[in-house]
Amino acid sequence: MAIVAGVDIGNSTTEVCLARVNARGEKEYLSSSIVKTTGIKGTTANLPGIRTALDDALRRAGVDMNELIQIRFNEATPVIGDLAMETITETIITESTMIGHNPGTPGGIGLGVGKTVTFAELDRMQSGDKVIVVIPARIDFEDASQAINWAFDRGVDVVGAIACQDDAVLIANRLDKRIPIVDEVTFIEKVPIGMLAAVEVTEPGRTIQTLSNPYGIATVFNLTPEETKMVVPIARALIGNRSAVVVRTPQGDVKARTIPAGVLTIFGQRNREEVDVESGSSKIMQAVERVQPVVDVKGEPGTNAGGMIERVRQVMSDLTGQSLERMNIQDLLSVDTFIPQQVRGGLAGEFALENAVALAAMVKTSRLPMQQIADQLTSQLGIPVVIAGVEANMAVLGALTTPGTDKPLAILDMGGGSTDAAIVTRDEKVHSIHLAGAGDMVTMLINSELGLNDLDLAEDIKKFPLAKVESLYHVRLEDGTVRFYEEHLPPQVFARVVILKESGMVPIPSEHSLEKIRHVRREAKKKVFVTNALRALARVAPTGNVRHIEFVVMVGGSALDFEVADMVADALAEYGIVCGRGNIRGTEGPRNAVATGLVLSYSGGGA
Amino acid sequence: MLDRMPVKPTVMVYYYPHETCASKLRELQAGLEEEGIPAVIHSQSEPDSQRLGYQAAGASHLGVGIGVGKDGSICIHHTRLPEERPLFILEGPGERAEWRRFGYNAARLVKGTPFKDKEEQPFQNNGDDMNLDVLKATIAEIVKRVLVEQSSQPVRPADEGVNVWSRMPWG
Repeated sequence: MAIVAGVDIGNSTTEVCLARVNARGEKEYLSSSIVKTTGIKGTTANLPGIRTALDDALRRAGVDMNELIQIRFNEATPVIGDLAMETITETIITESTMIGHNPGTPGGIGLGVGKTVTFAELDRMQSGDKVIVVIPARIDFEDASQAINWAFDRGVDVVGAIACQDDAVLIANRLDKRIPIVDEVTFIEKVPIGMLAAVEVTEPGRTIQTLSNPYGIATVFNLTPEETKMVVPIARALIGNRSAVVVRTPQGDVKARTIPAGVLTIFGQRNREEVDVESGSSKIMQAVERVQPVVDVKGEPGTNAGGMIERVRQVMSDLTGQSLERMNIQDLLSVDTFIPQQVRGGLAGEFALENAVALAAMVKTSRLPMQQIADQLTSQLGIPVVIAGVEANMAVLGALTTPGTDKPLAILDMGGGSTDAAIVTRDEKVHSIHLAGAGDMVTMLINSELGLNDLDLAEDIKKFPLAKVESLYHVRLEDGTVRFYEEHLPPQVFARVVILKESGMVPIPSEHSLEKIRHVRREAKKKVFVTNALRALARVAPTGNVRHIEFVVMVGGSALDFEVADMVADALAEYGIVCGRGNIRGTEGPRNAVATGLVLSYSGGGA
Repeated sequence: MLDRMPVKPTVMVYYYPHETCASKLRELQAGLEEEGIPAVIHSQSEPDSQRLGYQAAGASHLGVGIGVGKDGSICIHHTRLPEERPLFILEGPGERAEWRRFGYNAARLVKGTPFKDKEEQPFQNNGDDMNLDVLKATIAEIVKRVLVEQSSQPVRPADEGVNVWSRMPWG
């Protein structure tokens, strides 16, 4: 009777499978454990994590450390992924020209066009002047409305107002005439005075029509065709708002600048392809497919693309301690995305959606120093540590313990850093590949598309379903079902979109609707996982044809995701493949495949 | 008589008359008006803001009441909350902006829109803003690193019977 432990050190988790092996080589599984990997995979910093995982598994099995006769490591595949994102357009307002924000409660209704004047100047205006009054902070709504009413009486044509405090409705309710008022303009002192401006407010539930239309702005300000071209970004940024202000300043212009994104050169074994990053991700991916297999990718020096690729290379080189020249990028996943970016020169924190390209790159380094980890663990514990086999083979062995599977079988290992696939044929041959882009890229896309600037929050949005708090006592889940609570919910979550974590509700601090967040989350997962699943399977399939694979088992951390596995299975259904989440040993779900494979590969001998 | 007439749905504001209550009531009303919710105001002989708020909520067809107490405290209450657990309470006299915020939030409770937080300080200086962000990012980075190094705690596979609901700390 012998007890062996299989240890799988992954990018994010370290997993252990513990089993008793009898004289006939039959295995009896005792326990499993899973802990966060300490340090970078393949370095001696992994040791504390390995120790904890082992201790944990041993405790669960009620076995003492010295009963172990062998610990088995996998030959970890030396691939590391990294991510980069680059905007390819940028909106700059060289002088303040617009206030496009959406206060909760603007006042009045209509469109007003006139010259901006300060509140203090209002009583010096002449009869017939068409003005838009700019009301700074600390002016009470009664005083503001009274002053405007007096101006009306004197014949001054006040056509709109811009206010700093949240009191547009209060002012509008006290005026003798109905004029549009936009409030909560934070940087009110930056509103240019003495300039022609337009204020537009619509009824609740509608969106502005004039200032979100380039020809509308052209009509209001008498623009030439050349000038009209320049206001397109303003109009675009205002679409969907209930209220807006546009101020025309003499030099004021908004530029939608296209940043020269640069050219990527993708080197294959025989040929190479050049592709402009600006042409978008589908062109880049086509180029990647044409030169398969990729041996390296280079960016044009001095451009964003060049910087992006060099950064990836530099990061990898730092992590692995290997020289920069040996960092060859072996796969690239490119995804079109957009980033809401604060408009430079805006007045109320306006955002414009900038186009961007997100790239995941995968670098193959030389062998990871697994032997070093093994030696150190042996000297710490006095137990022989064996490097037992290649990761892909072990994962296949483990995956085959899923009930209902048979060879030829392909596994799809969707992790955090990379998407790996391996296939085992009837004659036991294993072929594996590694692709760039997985869970971490999804997190990055969610983070940037929702403008969160908070990777932990993006990670939570990726992992957990959403709900909207509809009253103090109930929430509506994203599938429409309602859940009631006996005690009232905390005020911080009231009326907000929340993430339902095990530990409680986390409010998402943004104005995005539940539908929008859900859409972004699902699209990000599809763009990365469904794309990569198809790419990966096409590459391992014996004939390059996905249809020739019979069974696909999904394993790895991202297979645990509450919707990714379904999305991939859905996409593969049309190829007539049996595809589903693995259930290792019939008990472990999609986890522990490699660790289980390591135990299975133990034959009682030294290796 | 009054009770039998068809009643307009309003937020009720009950107050105990005192020195500064006029300006408080003005700001509360302004907040409610800005959000577009009607309110009715009654003076009462009860001095405690929490009790006033609860009674007002009970009298309101919208179920939302505001109490302004003898000590100047303000309380937003909902009819379905237990009396001793009001939604918001402003202890002490406070200032104009806070009174207004209570008006906004009472209205938002009716409308079902997120509450207004304490007055966000508009950053006058963008430089400071930037530094703060950088500082925050740096601290977050350090904390993360420390956590990663320390946490070799066992993690549970996330699908292990995730019953999000049963583990809510408040219910």
